[in-house]
Amino acid sequence: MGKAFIIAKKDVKEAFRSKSTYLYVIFLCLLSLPYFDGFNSVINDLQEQGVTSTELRLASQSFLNGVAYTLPFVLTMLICSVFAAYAITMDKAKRTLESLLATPLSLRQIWLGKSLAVALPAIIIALLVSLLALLAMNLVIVVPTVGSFIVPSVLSLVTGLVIVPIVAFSVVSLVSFLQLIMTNPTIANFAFIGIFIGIYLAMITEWAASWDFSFIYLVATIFLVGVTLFLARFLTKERIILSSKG
Amino acid sequence: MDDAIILEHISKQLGGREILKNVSFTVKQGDIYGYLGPNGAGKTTTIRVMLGLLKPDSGKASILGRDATENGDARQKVGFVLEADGLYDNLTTHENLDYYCQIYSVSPARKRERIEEMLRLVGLWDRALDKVSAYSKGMRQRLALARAMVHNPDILILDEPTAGVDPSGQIEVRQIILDMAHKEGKTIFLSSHNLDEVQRICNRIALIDRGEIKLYGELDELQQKMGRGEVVVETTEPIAEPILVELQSLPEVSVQNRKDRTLILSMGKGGDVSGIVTFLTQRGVRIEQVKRREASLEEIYTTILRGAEQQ
Repeated sequence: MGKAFIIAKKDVKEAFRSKSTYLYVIFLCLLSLPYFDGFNSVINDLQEQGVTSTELRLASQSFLNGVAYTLPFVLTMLICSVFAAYAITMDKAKRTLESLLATPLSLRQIWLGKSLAVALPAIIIALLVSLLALLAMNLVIVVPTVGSFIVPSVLSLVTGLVIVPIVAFSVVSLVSFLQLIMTNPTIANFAFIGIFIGIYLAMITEWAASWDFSFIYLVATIFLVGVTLFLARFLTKERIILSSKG
Repeated sequence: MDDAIILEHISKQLGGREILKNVSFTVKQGDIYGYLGPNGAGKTTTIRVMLGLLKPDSGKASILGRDATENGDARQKVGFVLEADGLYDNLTTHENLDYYCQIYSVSPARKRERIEEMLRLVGLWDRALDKVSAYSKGMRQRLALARAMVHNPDILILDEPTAGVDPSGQIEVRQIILDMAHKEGKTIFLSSHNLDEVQRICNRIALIDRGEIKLYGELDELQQKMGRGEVVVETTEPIAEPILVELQSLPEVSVQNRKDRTLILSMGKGGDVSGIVTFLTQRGVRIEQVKRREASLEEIYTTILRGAEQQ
């Protein structure tokens, strides 16, 4: 585990040496702004309908729960795709990965290190931005409307702060695997979008409407971990080397 | 002397093509071993097998007595510079070495000392805080050599370390390799198609072509063995024509070339150098030097490869 963290630390340091990383991350964080607009519209509509303050409070609570369930997931997935470009895609293109593979490190240490390098910064940034968004929604919309702060439900917070990072890490492990063995690792990045859309659609279907968000996330995690563990047996240094250019 | 690297009957197919065919050779500790061959001969594949990056279809590779294809411990004793230098452009010189120190578990106390030592050896200590992206090819290769040495390995595996480097950079890189071998006592395995470089620094060689080892051994011995029995005689005065005509009549001797005071003779199997010396001195010729003419590495290389092409 220690060696995996050494790899992760180096990859994250390298990613933050590039100005484009900051630009991408800031741009992606701005995607939380539509949540403000949506929340504001909901509150305005309810006020126009003349609902009671209790109903307004319940609607706000429900919206903030939704933010806690979905915003960390959306941001984590999108930011992961930025860091994945540094940790594996560039390492393969510049053939620095070949040198790393020739050291005494095991393939599992390298895979874990690369997955941590992608998932950890993305999770940290996504959670910080999500918490800031919740705080800002309270300060700008909730407090002036209902008169006090509203904290999202415990289940939504646990899902956003604990289960979503687990989902993210399992997605990243799978995508990292694909990037390691694919000749064109950039294509593997589309897996982020694919898995993201898959989980998102599962949430909005009628079939899953009765399910809890946290349950959907857990099912997705178990499925992804199963697939990743199954594929892990096919990961060899030779496969990685032969899929690299040169 | 113990063996540092042993390859026994290594064969490897990639994409349906046989890249290595029954490759065997031994590198002894303290050797500077030149691994020669044209592009596509199988040099890089051999190195990848030695570093455990590719698994051979058959045969065995061992480093200091440990299985190289399975064992991470074997790689702890090895430093390497691959075809792509493997340096991180966005990190500084110091950070690149520090990263590899951590990977090889160099203790923090030793790390600082070792990084300074290596950067001084390759002449980059004053550039320790510079980003690698600003480096020339020659500087990158010097840094890659420092990185290969930073954990103090016993063996260095270098895949064309001077490829793409300008002539002055090549001299610097060669000098560093020699320092590593002589001052640090490392065993060096040098893959190259630069014959001049190999001839200058290697004591033993193997020549690979189309996946097969065509020749291997001590460079001096190979040069003598393949010198076609030529003898160079240097005299104080040019030799008179009648003496040369008489010399030609000796059995197994023919004059190949003659220029001023230098005479190149070709000797058959039964030719006797001492007989020539006696013959000339009896005729009043004063001899300065007599030496067997060794084949250059270029001659060995072209002879072997032409032979292989004709087969």
